[in-house]
Amino acid sequence: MHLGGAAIRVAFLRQLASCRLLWASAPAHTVAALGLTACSAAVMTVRVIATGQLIGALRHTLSESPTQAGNQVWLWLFLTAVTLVTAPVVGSATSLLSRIISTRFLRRFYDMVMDASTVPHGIGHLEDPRVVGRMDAVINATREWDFTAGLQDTLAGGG
Amino acid sequence: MELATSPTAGAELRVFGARDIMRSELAAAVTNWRRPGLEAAVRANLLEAACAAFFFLIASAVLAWMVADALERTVPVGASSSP
Repeated sequence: MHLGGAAIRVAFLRQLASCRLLWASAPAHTVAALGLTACSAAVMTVRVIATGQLIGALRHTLSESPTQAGNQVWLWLFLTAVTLVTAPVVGSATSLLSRIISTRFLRRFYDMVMDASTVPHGIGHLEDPRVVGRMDAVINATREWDFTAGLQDTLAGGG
Repeated sequence: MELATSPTAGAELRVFGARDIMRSELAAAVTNWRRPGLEAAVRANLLEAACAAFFFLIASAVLAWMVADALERTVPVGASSSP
């Protein structure tokens, strides 16, 4: 039970660090991705409502006053069409944005590794097996295919 | 990256003051590494968005046509109850 809590805490801290790095790498793009995510959710919700209202208005028009309710039908149809067209465009924009963010993320990531190894005045830390091992692990991790793919998928899934 | 993290190259970087050069070279390398994928993604996403938008525009037009027919009562609306 205690181990589970610790594992959750570590996972949370990792996610938090990843979010901080994401924000430091591309703040404007991150805000844009957040906006597109909200926009995508809104479009999907409006589409469901508009489709339901369209069916309801059509049924009402056919059973009662054709003129006034007819305008309502066209309004809901227009809204449905707009959401149908908007959704894939928003999805593509999010996907593209995730690519741009992942590139900036990687650039920042390598910059940080570079700083960690070159900013200290001496080279004593580069001879410490513990530090060298950690740096090698970080560098090798970025060479794995699933590092960039996972980064991109996380961004696309979140955005 | 090994040039920055190995002790020998790290010492040379410090002696010759090549840290900033290494940084800019590394940034350029990352950009060049990612650029083909990014450019392909731009083209693929534009094409995908255009195709999807075109598809749903046509679907909306067909839907509008069906609604117009329903409003003019030229076609019945609802499931047929005949066997």
